[in-house]
Amino acid sequence: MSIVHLPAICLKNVRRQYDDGAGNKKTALDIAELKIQPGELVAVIGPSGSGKSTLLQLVGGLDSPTAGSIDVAGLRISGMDEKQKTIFRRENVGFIFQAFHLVPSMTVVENAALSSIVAGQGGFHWRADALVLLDQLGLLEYADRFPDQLSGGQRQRVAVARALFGAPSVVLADEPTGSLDSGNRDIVLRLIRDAIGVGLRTSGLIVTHDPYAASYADRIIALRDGKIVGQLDLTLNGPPQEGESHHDERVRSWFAATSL
Amino acid sequence: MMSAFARGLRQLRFDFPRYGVAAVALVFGVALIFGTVLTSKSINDQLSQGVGSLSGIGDVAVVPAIPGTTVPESAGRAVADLPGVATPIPTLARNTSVRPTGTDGAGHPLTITGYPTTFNTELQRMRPELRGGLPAANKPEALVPSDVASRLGVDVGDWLVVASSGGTTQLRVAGVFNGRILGPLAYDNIFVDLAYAQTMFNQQGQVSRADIQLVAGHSAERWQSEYSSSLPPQFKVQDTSALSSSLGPLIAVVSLILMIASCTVLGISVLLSATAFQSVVNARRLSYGVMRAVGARGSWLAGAVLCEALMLTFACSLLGLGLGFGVSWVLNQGLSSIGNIPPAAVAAELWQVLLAILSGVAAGCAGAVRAIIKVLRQAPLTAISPEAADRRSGQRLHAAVGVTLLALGAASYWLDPVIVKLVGFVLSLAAAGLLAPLILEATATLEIFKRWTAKAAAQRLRKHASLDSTTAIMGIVVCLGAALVIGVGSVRSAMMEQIARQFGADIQISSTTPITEKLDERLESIEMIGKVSDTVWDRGALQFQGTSSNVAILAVDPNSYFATAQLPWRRGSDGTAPVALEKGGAVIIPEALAASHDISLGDTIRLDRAGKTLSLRLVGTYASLATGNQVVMSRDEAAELGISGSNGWNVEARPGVDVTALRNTIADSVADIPGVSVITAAKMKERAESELGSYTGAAFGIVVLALSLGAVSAAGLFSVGVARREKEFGMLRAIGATRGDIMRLVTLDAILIGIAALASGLLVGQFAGWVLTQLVAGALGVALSPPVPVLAFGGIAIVTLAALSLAAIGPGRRAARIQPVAALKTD
Repeated sequence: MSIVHLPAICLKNVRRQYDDGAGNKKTALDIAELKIQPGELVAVIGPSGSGKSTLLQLVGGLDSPTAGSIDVAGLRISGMDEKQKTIFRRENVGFIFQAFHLVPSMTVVENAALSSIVAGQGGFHWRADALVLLDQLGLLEYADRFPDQLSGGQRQRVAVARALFGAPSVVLADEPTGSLDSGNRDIVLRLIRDAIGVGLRTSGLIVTHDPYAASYADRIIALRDGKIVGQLDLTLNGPPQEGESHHDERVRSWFAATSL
Repeated sequence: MMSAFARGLRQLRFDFPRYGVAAVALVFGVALIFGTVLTSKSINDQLSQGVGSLSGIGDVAVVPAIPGTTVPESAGRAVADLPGVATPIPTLARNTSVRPTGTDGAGHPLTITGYPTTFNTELQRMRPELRGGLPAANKPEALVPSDVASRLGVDVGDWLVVASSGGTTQLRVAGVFNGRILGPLAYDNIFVDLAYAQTMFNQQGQVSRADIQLVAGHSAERWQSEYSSSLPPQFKVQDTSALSSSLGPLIAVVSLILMIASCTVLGISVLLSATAFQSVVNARRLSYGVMRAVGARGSWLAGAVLCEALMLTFACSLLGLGLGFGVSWVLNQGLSSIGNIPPAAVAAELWQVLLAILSGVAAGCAGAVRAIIKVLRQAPLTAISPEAADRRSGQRLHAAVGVTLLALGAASYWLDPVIVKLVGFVLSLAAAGLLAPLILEATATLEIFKRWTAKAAAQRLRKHASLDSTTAIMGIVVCLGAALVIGVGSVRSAMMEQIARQFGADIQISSTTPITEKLDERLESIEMIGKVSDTVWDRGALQFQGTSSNVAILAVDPNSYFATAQLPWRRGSDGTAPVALEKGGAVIIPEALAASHDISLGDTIRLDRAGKTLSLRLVGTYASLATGNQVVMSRDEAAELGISGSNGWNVEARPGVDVTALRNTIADSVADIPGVSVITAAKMKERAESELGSYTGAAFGIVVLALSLGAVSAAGLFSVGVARREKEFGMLRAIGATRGDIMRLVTLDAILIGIAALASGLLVGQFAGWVLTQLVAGALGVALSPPVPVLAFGGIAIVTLAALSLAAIGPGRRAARIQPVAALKTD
């Protein structure tokens, strides 16, 4: 008997429209179907205004679709109210932002375990778990420092730790390497890549402009004017190896072909 | 290259909203300072001009050496023999009550001034807009200023009932004129023939003032400098200080409180300016970094910020000047109604304008200094360097300075000069401001917070100094509030103690003018009365070892007085002092007066009045607040100083008698005499409490006003904080924090700040209150002991926390409305 995995993220007939201020409806996103499997890392690319951020916001429960359904980790989030979405985010989603957004008055370990702290979970469990995670990310020695005592790369690694803490169902990253130099970019992308797919528990969605960052994904989706205009499956060549991004050249060619 | 001024102006126009709260505080600070100096100067000027204004008839005025007393007319004639004197014009002024005939009640408090009607012709030459005629010699006729006539509702030919020594006197209104031609000294005066006035008030041959007409070629100033020392000893040239002696302490106390309030508001302005400029400079950090990167010098950038600060503070100071005229108008109206003088004409002088503008500019620029230094040190590559956190530093230095200032402030309690105490008070306020952020840090360190929001708020406040200025402002405000409450409380407790003892008789009767008619006989006919003791009140001078003080004299019959009233003793007692007074040759004086002259029990002092002198031994001192510098002596000895008649009666009811009914009976029996009031002890206490209540209310009003100002500034700073933390709140919302969590994060900041401000403000405020109590005691000439007003402190705590929580609601709600997507936005 084979095990059938439900998609970690499933969008059906999703449309998000905004009022453009002149009484007209502007469609920011219009996706007939998008499925992301458990353990899969998907990069979303596209020019400015193509709907990348809207997609991320909808999947992360930060926004609601005008039409259609969105299921994440088996939960129908498109019908959730504000409170339910807050709990959904707390329990199922890890965010990585371009500008890190660490809480400056909290230590590294506290920032890493922020989702547990926000959930009001007392005791030392979160600290022990966060220290383990920081150790894996090479940040153990900085655990009790404050964000302003870290470099940019170290800060984004803390942000990654925060996103991965508690093994969320999905990790959503918005231009995670946009503020990093090339050395730190590789480290952060590798961390994300390695964390996704462990035991098929966590899936990932990365929004990026950068072909190099996109090349770490299993699949790349191209958006234009809110619609999916192309997909590239990178799993055919196998996963990239430690310190490498084997799909980089292929991705660049695909970017060029799709005029992105 | 664009000048620093032009760049500063452009920056100011762009960022003006960020300065809003600081600008408002600056405007108010300048307005308070300008209004205070303007008012005290204009009232003092008015009083100075008043010396010469009645001498629209004369050129120089001479008055009794002991204010409030009279001198023999013969002394006035001696003035005529001095070189340069053409004619002296003697007058006699007496305060009394007046009402139109056919009306009831206590009447209107007015002054009857007798003048020689031989000067009527001269008066007419002054174009007095006269209707009717002028008073004739030795006739019961009065010349009434038109405003007084209108208030009394009388016109030419009507009759007035005036309280006088014989009970009452009726005067016919001979004429109505424009009193303003005689200036402020004629305010609320009714003019009668001198001889008639002397008869009315049993002051035959006495005058209270003489206006001197000089011969041509003599100026008033030269005559004063050459001949004032040749005046008869009973007279002296009238000067502003003598004239304003009654209003002086009031102006001094009001000016003192307003100057303290002005300094506090300016201090708050400094902190608010500092925060505003820091916030603005932080927001421009990237722009400055880019400009430095492309070659701009730090001084080039800082020059524009300095110009910006100068323009902002100058504009605020100008607005403050405008508002200051309004403040001055309000103060003028209040002080003139209390001091019974017409409102002064407000005219600003250059030095006042410069002082106010410089105060505002200095306060604002002092606030901008740190921001300017930061711009001077601006690094060129800010755009890619990590943002420096607003972390705490130098706590030990702050603590050391704060404790030192507190110690200096507390030490001023034991030091004498008023200016030292004033400086001590200001240092205490500064100490409260310095210590509050340190207490905030200590409070945030306590492991008492359970919820993550409380822990996060505490942790942030412990590490970051961004809300330190708010905490300092609130610490100062609470300290000022606590000190004011202590000051008012000390006045209240001293006054209530005196009222309970000295005015404890069942019923008190008082008259505006001493009357020689034996009112006792009328009272004795009322069966419900048990005991009556009559007193008389006048003025004199106390001399001791070469020092002198003008005092009020309360002459009592020791046999009966102490059976109806007691004094709040400080030295002596109910058992010893009254007995000594009865034996004769003794006097009781206020403790503050004894302390200021270093007089001990048993010392002999001299009392002078109307050219007569008495030596008396000090047998007791008492806490005098309601009665000021009032010495108590026996009636028999007071008669030797020319004090006669009675203007006060203490009445004890027979046991079981309804005091209110007795009061009504007495009021009916004296209804024909205007200016006589009859009041029960309970009513007097109630009235005193109501009066004190209004002072307490005013003090609490200032506290609430200051707290509101602090809360408004806190709200502004919370808003700035929320705007700066938008992405942090967005991220917290994105990872699962609820709107309530975000709201709590902001309001907990406010509550923790409130706790720290209260701890610092109430603790330091206790010391500042002691110093303020001494300042008030010094201004009023009394001895006060500061209380520990636990309930009032509780009130301040509740109001402070409520004000800060309210201040946090708006920014908290804005923070809670921040969408999680805010974290996804890029700058």
